Amino acid sequence: MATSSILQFTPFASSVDAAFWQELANKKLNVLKLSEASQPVYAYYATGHSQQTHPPFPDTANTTSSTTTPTTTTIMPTRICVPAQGLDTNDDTRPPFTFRVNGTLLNTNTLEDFKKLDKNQLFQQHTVKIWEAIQNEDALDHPNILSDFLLLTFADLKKYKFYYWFAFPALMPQEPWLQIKPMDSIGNVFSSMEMTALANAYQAADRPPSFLLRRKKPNTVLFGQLRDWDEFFTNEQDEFWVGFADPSHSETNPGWPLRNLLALLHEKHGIRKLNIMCYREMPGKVNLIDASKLLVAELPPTCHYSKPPKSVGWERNAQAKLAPRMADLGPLMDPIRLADTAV
Amino acid sequence: SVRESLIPVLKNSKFKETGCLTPEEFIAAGEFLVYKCPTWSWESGLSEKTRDYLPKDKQFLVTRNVPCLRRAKQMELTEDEDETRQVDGGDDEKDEDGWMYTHSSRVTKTMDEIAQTIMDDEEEEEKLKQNMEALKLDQEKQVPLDEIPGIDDIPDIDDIDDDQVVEEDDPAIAQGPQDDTTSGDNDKILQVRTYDVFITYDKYYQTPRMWLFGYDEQRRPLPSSRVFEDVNQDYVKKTVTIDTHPHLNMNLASIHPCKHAEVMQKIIERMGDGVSAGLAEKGQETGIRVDQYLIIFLKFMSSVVPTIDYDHTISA
Repeated sequence: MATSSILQFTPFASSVDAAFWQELANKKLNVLKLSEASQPVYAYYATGHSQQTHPPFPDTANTTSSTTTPTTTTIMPTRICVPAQGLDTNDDTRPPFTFRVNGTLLNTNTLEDFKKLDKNQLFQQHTVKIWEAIQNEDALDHPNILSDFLLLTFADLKKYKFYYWFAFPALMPQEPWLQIKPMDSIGNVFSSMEMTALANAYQAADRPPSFLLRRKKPNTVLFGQLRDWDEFFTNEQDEFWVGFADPSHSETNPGWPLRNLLALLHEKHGIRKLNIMCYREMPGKVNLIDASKLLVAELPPTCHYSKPPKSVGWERNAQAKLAPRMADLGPLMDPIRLADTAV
Repeated sequence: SVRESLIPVLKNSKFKETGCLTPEEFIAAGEFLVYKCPTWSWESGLSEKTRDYLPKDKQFLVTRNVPCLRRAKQMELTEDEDETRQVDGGDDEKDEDGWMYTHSSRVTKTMDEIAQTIMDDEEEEEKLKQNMEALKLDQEKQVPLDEIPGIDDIPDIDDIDDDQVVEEDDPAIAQGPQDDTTSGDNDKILQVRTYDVFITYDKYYQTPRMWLFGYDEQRRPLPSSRVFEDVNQDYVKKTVTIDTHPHLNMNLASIHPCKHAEVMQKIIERMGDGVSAGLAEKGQETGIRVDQYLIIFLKFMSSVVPTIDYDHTISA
């Protein structure tokens, strides 16, 4: 019998375009002024694709002794990026092959205010927002609501320093979800023909952040949207998966967006055990989905999501502490320091 | 700039003779790049900086979050590297003005190979695969982060002691080394710098121009001094300068385009009619097409920034 372990999720690592801070500074000076009202903001992520990040020139490694620890392919952190245009929610400028996520930005006027913000309360409010989207089924039609994030900022416009703290609320059941067996590669279960059919169906469906998949043997895959649940899962002879665009590059862990998707499936459909497909495409080569993973998730018996919901998801800083981060744009924006580097 | 505004927009194609591009040719070459390498995309930039000789929504090209695994210094030349050679700047110029053509073996062995990568996706892909198999990350040469001087230049804030945020320990959070700067011995997830790479059209030099904006391992903007660590040491501060991006209010590192036309002209000339390179059929008049310019240009640029792996999708 396979042993279960706790299903662990790779957290998001935030990444903000330097030009975004510039836009925020502009908006603060010209539009927001002293207002501390919350602003809509957007971000994006791409799916994991570990094989993409190889060093281009392996020849320098030849001369040195073999390393003591076995080396595998390098993996990028699970990035979530805020583009320069992030504050303009009518805009949708983001790199191709990425998934959009919306969030709420709260900018304070002073560092004091930033420190004093009732962060736990804001976090809880945001959690409830996601929870309600699950309960009222908005999330079935707009699955990216599940990944809504919170961004607290303070812009020190004199020193060109930007303090910020991201939160990606993830709903927690009373006890964590379990993983029945280690993640499996998609290629171990699906034929290349099925994978091609799946990739095509995924593109044809306009690349949803989550989807349903039914597999009829041999070589037929049916693709559905979250909303189609009841009609979709009819024939018990077939195999079923719930898929999601997985930002994780990890060989062993799925990414953060799966957490709230599991909450949705449990709340709406009473799911306690299901097959998950961590859909990972190669940006620029969308038919290449070999990096995708499969796993089986199970909620321990009698375990539920508590009401009001509990959640986690503050991003930690570089020292792995629960504290804000800071971006220093002095070298890039300060006219005096710019004069130093001018040629 | 004044200088720029005085130069008339190049109208007639001279790219084979001079290595220069008209704005129309830049757009055509950009379209081909986006088609061949879909991780590149067009952007419009700031509206107040829009150049009217380029379409509004196609002001410049960008590819974002490009990993940069090693510092340029860590890629020292070994003896079996082929010679550093110079592409002569021209008859009337001294050698030192020529473009240093180092690392040529790392980038591509011959101009024909450049052509091959344009034409022969499969082969290039195979090569990449072999490279990956041969890949052994050199742990000894990985400078641990805490030894890189200047890592503390931009600390996160310690003075914000936020005890108010409480979060229970969640066993379902994967404890990756994502935010752990001491994870030097972990060989599975590597802390990487990333770059946003821009290509703009330089009206004065009538060539494309490459710009780099870096983010450190903690995804904070890299000061220019640290961007230079990722530039081939032969070029640092010689041809790589800090300038204002023509479409953004931002100063960033750029590979100065003063020699681009000459070098591109040489490369294109060396590729000849493209027949030997497989770019064209015998007897065909066209040879190298102008829309292939940017792909050749990117190959050329990768000798300047050898560690920034923007190149991978060329096989896409």
